[in-house]
Amino acid sequence: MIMISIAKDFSRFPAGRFFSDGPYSGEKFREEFLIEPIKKGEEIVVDLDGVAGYGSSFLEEAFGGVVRKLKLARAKVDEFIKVRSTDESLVAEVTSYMYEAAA
Amino acid sequence: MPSYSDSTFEWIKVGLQAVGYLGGWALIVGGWVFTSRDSLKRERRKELRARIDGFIEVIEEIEKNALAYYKTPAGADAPSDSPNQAWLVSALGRLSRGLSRLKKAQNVNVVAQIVRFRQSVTSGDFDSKERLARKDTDPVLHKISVSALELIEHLESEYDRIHP
Repeated sequence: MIMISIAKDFSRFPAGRFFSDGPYSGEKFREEFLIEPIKKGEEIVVDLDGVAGYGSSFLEEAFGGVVRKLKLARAKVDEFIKVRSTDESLVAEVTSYMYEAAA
Repeated sequence: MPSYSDSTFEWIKVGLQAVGYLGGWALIVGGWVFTSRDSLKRERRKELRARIDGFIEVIEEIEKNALAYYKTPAGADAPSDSPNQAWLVSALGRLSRGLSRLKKAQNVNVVAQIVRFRQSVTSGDFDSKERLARKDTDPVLHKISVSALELIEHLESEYDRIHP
């Protein structure tokens, strides 16, 4: 299992959807932190706390994007990616993006 | 010689005095409990009302700044005093965390509504450097206002549910 804290391991100010939007985009987070571990079959637990705030575009590109790119079924999403936050609305939003993107 | 009926009468008299004494205390304690609970309930209602009013102010401020943000173009063309991405994302983050704490403390559930509000403000071309200014009638602006109103209305209905 791999634990990732977006605030500590990536940025306290993640922003943007694509690489072209800035240095801490959803696309960058997905490519650097999510793709390879999931391909190797690792379970990832992502802690969303500690960040100033999230844009929906960041969340959708990072989490919806990894599911689309790896063509994960919903059962695999539940198996590989766990999202934690004291803010329930963030968990709900991310989960909805992943399930909507699921094959 | 004292009769059976005299001692019985005495016991009845003592018994009634005891009941009267205890009953008086029961009334005092019961009254205190009732008053305390009623007072606590009023305090909790006032506290929740104040917190919700505070959140409504924040929601309206975010809405106002989000509309202004989308009415100005991105990048170099944006006036220096226009609201920016960082402010909107941070303000939404603080609002969301505050509402999450409110849910834990007072069971006010607006999770779906805060998700929609955040999405309305920060989806689409929110981050794009090519974002153009939108007109007042643009559907994106309409969606922001509708989701802000929906969040406020739901906060109010949660308050009414908790304190009818």
